Order: sequence, then C-alpha cells, then structure tokens
Amino acid sequence: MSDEDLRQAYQARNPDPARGSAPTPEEIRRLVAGEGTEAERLRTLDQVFAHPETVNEFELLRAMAQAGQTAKAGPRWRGAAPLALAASVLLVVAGVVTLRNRESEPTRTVGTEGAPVQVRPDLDARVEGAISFLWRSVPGAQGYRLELLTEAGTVVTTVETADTTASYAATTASGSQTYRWVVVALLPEGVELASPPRRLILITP
Amino acid sequence: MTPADEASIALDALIARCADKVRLVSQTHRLDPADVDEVFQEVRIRVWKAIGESERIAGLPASYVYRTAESVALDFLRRRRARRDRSTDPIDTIAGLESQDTPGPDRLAARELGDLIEQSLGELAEGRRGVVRMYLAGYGTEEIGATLGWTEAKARNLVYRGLADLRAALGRHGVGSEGIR
Repeated sequence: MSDEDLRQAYQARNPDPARGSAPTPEEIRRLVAGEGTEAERLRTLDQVFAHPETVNEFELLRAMAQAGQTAKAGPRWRGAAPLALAASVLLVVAGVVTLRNRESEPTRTVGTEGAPVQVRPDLDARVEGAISFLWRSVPGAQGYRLELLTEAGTVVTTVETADTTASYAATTASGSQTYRWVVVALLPEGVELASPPRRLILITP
Repeated sequence: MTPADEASIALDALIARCADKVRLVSQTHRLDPADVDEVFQEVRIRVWKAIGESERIAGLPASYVYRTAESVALDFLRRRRARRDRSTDPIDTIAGLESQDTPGPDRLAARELGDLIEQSLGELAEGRRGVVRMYLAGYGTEEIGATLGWTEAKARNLVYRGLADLRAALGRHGVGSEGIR
C-alpha cells in the first residue's frame, strides 16, 4: 500500500473516541515556536493531528510563524543579498557585531519616550561610500539592532550590536537610493524600543 | 492626499503583503482564508492604534506585523474556542455535520482502513506518532522538520521508520500491501 493510499484512508477516518483532550491554543503556539522539550512538542504534535478540528488552528499559527521567520531571515545576509543587489547596493558590516539569542517573543514599541535617539547621519543626509551610524544609549539596553529599510518599508538589512555605533561600507553600482534607518534598543524580557525611522540618501559613485 | 491617507495606504499595502505570505506558506494545507482575513483585519487595527503615523508606518518592518499577527491569531483562536465551549454542540458534532451525506463504497472502505490506521497509530511509540500523523495529514518532510527544528533528512528518516512501524501494526490487524485482507 502506497503512502498516498495511507494518507487518503487516514484523512477519511473517524476520530478516535479515546484520543484525550485537544491541545490548547497556547500549547499549539509553543509547538510552532519550538518552545519546550522535544518530548513535549512531539506529544502536542500527536494531539494536534489526533483532533482534526485543531489542525486548522495549528496551520494558522504555523503559517504565521513560518511567514514571520522568513521576514526575520530576510534581513540577515542570506535574504538581504537579492534586495541589495536589486537596489544596486551592497552593504558590508564594518563594526563589531554581536547577536542576541532571543528566547521569548519581543514586544516592540515605536517612537516612545526612552527610545533610542538617532544622532548621525542627519535627516535626509546624503551619504557617499561608508556610512557611520551613531545614536544615544538607552539605560538598561542589552544591545541594539540597526535596521535599514527601503522607502516602501522593506527591511534591507539589520545588524545587532552592543555598541551605539555601526558602520557600513556601501559598494557596487552607481546612483542614489533613499533609505530609512531605525535603531531598536533591546531590553530585558524581550522588550524592544524603536526610534522613528530617519531618511538618508545613499550615493554610490 | 493627507498624511493619514498616506499612512492608511502604506499600512494596507504592508498588511496585504504579509497576509499573502501567510497564504503562500499554507497554500497546500487546511488554512481557512476567512481566518487569515479576520486575523489581519485585527492586525491592521492594532498596528494603526499603536503607530498610526505616516512616517512610522512607512518604516515599519514586516517582522513587526508578523509578531502582531501571531499574537492576534492566538487571541482569535482563544475567542473561537470560548464561543464553541458556550455552544451546546460539542466540536466534533459541529465538525462532522458537513460530512453526514451517505458515503459511497470507496469512501466506506477508505474510512474502514482509516479507522484501522487510527487504531494502529495507538500502538506506535509516542515520539513517532505525531510525526506520522502530520505526514499522513498531507505535510511534507521539510515542513515536519521545520516544525520540530529538525533537518529534512532527520524528519524523512523518522517518517520512514514511523511508516514502517505503522505498516507492521496494520499487518497485525489484517491489513496487507493490497489493503484489508
């Protein structure tokens, strides 16, 4: 009997009356977020698929998480490259970079009191070649994430650092391109405070 | 056009992109498009309330929208469960209503085999059962691996072994390579 035969029969089955209780939405969220031990996640997975009515709940949360993962992965170098090439700009990190291991989902607040204050480059600065970003420190911040975005809001690249500066070297094709940059202070317990976006024009000779 | 109009258009475009991505990720599975629409309508409201200014919305990364969407989706599921709990019909009864038409012989045979599969799954080690169920529900080994933080090769190996265990259990229930004996 082929795998496809098994699949068709399985999907036509009657639910097992002795299958136990359905997992809660929170348990399903923990599964798709990769939280808990592997044994716990395997148990939840079994329970999700033992209850046909919870499969679409799992799928909703899985699809959200999966789509979000690709959005997070995009700014890293793998995903950033096609965007950068499309914009004819290649950004090279030229500072010390530290990556923070996030254990819980961050809560982000934009442009509130206590958010990072951007110092340099100025609003609408025309920057040629290397760019030096500078911002004021935020008390209690464990690190900062600098995000560079296109005008349409697509993240081109991000870098995390423990410092209040970051430098980039722009290379490749000529022309000018408008970007926005945002500094996010990374605080304990997944709290993030983001500066408002500031425009800059990147010129490559 | 006022700044508020511009912000509204920018937000609509961002939300639409994110919703499309979610639909794309789930295009071969049982995701109800109405659920995605409802979640992203609520996401729009929350983001607008939290930010609501053109300059800020234009610079909003998609990852922020997805984080909000994950939170909104969880609330949405909790509310829906609570509504079901308040109703007099159990979930299984409601879920089964749509399939109460008389099934044909093929369907009956498939259901009979399906019930034996369900019974045989109960004989598998707990650690393998969920992986096999997910595979039988139509997911690929890459998706199974991504869900559990495994490589595709590891997921494929465990699915293969789990299916071998399942076939052995089915054999004990009189189901051979040609079906029910």
